[in-house]
This record gives sequence, structure tokens and C-alpha cells, in this order.
Amino acid sequence: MKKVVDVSLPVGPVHPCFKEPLRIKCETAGERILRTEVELGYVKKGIEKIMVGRPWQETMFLAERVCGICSVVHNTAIVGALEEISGIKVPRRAQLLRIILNELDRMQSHLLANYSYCYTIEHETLAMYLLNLRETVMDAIEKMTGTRIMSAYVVPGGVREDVPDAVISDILSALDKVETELKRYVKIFETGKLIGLRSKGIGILSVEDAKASGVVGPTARASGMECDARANEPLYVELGWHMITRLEGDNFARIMLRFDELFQSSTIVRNAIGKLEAGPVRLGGKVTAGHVKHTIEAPRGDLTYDIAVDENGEVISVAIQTPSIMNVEVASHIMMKDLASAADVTSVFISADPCIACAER
Amino acid sequence: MELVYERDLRSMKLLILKGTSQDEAVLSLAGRLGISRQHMRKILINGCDMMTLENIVPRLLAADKAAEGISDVLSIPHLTTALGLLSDEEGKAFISRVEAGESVDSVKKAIMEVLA
Repeated sequence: MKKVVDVSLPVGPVHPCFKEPLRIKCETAGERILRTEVELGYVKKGIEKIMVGRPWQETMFLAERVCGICSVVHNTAIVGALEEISGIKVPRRAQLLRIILNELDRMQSHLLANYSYCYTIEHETLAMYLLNLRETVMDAIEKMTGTRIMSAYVVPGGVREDVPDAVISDILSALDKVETELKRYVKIFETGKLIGLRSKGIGILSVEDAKASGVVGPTARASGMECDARANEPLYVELGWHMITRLEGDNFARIMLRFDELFQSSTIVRNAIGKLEAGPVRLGGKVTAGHVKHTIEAPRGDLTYDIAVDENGEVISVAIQTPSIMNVEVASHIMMKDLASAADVTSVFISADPCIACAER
Repeated sequence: MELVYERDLRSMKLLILKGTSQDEAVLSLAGRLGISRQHMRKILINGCDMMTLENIVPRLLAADKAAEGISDVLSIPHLTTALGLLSDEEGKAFISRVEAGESVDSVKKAIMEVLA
């Protein structure tokens, strides 16, 4: 890109505040950030190309490996796409179990995102509280699926196995703990004066910029944009989902919105558990040829699998549009533009919950 | 001066542009501007960073929605707001030239000269 100043401040690729490697080159004038350039390529996996020519039974495992943090949603998205192509039906109990797992996954992802932000703005105490609370959710996921990540729990036609009643009570206990402790942590964040100084009015994303850049998920909703793929899923609406938005569009709004969504996810899981009835969790089906663009709401926003398979179930082409592609781009090019202090570069970036593994696929 | 940490990113940028959806977006933009895919790739690799290239599909979709009239014919929202290849002032200047009576083809040629 064309350089406009001589002083370039590199952040990363290895940085204590970043969970994953990426390099942001900031062009500065004194403390002010004029513009930034992002350098990727440290964790490029080429999963889209690896999937081509392989049978769908292999690609559903490959999809999970796009991202270690939200592997559940990649699994759900690719299986949903295959089901849509082939018209495979999913029993109601399996639909509810999928929602329970996906919402638990959203909770652990949001807790990790908010942990990262608090760590980045040097509020390590609150950060560690949140990271510890995330373990409660991770334990619930492990009890439900047998593993913390990459569980391959969602399979075409349903879920891999049913969940016993004992595990359901463990999940409910975990939700009790999360809800009780989270209220205290939200209050700490909301009322912390130093947190406010580092978060309020910093890294503002206007609704116009949000629309021009295609930003999605909590990052878009914190700027007042109403976009959530769950709005198109009647079962979610039946379970009490509603659109949560904020208008400030700054770091504070993005973190608070995730806190709000944590409580909402907990309510959705409780409602789904309340509606669980005995029945099959997996029906049969056969993958047929077709092409579909399937979108679901990942913890970070719209996740789209544009996939074509032939009559043998082999993938002809696939394009994975992860939410981090849009969110990382917006965080680095719009939110950071004209930042008053270089010290805010990392906090603004982390507030958008960037996932480099997802962005690089 | 040889910079130790500066890498040549052109091959990585080309890999991004070869992605299924990115390639479709490049073809569509090349068609709008009346140039070849290779030429479009070269302009994008020289003018955009890696993250913009990854996000090219949603950005061009948003530009498609915003484009109307002369700005649509000249692909101004695509080249300014979406990709940052032209500044807003440059975009407005090109639109004014068409409004002043200059032919679209000649302004398109001028745009290509700036992009090159």
C-alpha cells in the first residue's frame, strides 16, 4: 500500500495481547494513528482447497479445524449445508440439543473475548475471573460431547449421541454458576472508572461504516445494526431469542453487548432444556448432489458455507465466509483510523473479537 | 536500506485472490472496469492490504447496493469506499467530469491511468 508517513509502528505478529499471530503496521503522526495495514499469512491453512475432491464425511471434520474456539459452529454450519442440499430432516430433540451446544459454545467464546479485552486493557483480575468462568462452560460442553473442542457432535440427520439426564442437570448447575458470578463481573466492568477511560468513546464504528464494510455479529450490533442469522430460525425465536443492539459503537458497547448476549444464551439453553422431550436424536439420509449457500450465526457473526457436492457426496467447490474476515478488516481499517493514542491499537482490535484462524481458514 | 521484517506479500495476496468467492468478486469487478482478471489482480495486489482482499466480497456487495447512476457506471463506490483504491475526492472529480459532458469511456480510461 502507499505510505503516507515515514514512521511505521509494527504491532505483532507475536504480541502478548494477541491470541493468534498477525501483524498490524500502523502509520503514525506522533501518538495518532493515521492508517493501518494488516499482514496475514502466519496461520494460513488452505482448508477450502483441501476440502475440494474429498467426501463430505471428511469435510465435516476438516470444517471443525478451521477454528479451535468456535469449532462447534463450523461443524453445525457444514452439516446444515449438507442437510439443506439433500433435504435431510432433523428430529426435534436433536435440533434442541444442537441449540444447547451452540449457545454454550457462544457463551465460552464471548467469555474468552471479554477476557482478552480485559487483559488487554490491563484489568487482569477481571480477565482471570472471566477466564475461570469460561472453564465452567467448557466443562459443560465436555460433559455433553465428550471433549472440549472439535467434538464432531453435530452429524447429518441429528447429533452423534443423546445426552443423559445427569448431564442436563450438570449443564443447569453450570448455568446457575455463570449467571450468579457474571452479574458481579458485569458490574465491575460497567462501573470501573479506569475501564471506562480505556473503553468509552474509543474505537468508534458508525452505523454507516458498519454497513459499507459488511461487518457482522456483536461488532455490528454494538453499532446499532440489526443483523443476526438467528432471526431466520423460528426455533430460536420460540426459545426466547431477541435482537440485542447498542448504539454507541465503541469498545465499551461491544464488550457490554457480549455480556448481555451471555445472559440471553443462558436463557435460551434453559428454555431448550425445558422443551426437551423423549425421542430420536438421529435420522437417516443420503447426501445428494447440489449447491447451497448456508448461513448461521456464529459467536462472532454470520458464518456462510457456500458448498457444492456431486452425486457421490464429494465436494466440488467450497467457500467459507467467516465473520472474522469482515470484523478484523473493519477493526484494523475503520475503528483504528485516527485513533488518538497508539496505546489503544490493541484494545480496539481485541474489542472486535478477532479470530485469525477463522480469517485465514 | 534493507528492512529485516518487511516481507514480499504478493504471492500470499495472490493466494487470497484465488479463493473461490474472492475470484468471483475479482472477475465481476474486472468486468465492470473492462479489464482482464490478471490486470485486476495486479491492481488489487498493489493497492490493497491482505485483510481488504479477504473481505473483498462483502465490501463489493455493499458497494453494489450504494452505486447508482454515473457512480455505478464508473464503479466509483467500488473503488473508493469499498477498496480505497481512489480517494473520495478523486471519485467525485471523475463523476463531475462525466456530468460536465466528457464521455464515460474517456473517464474510465483516466480512472485506469490513476489505478495503474
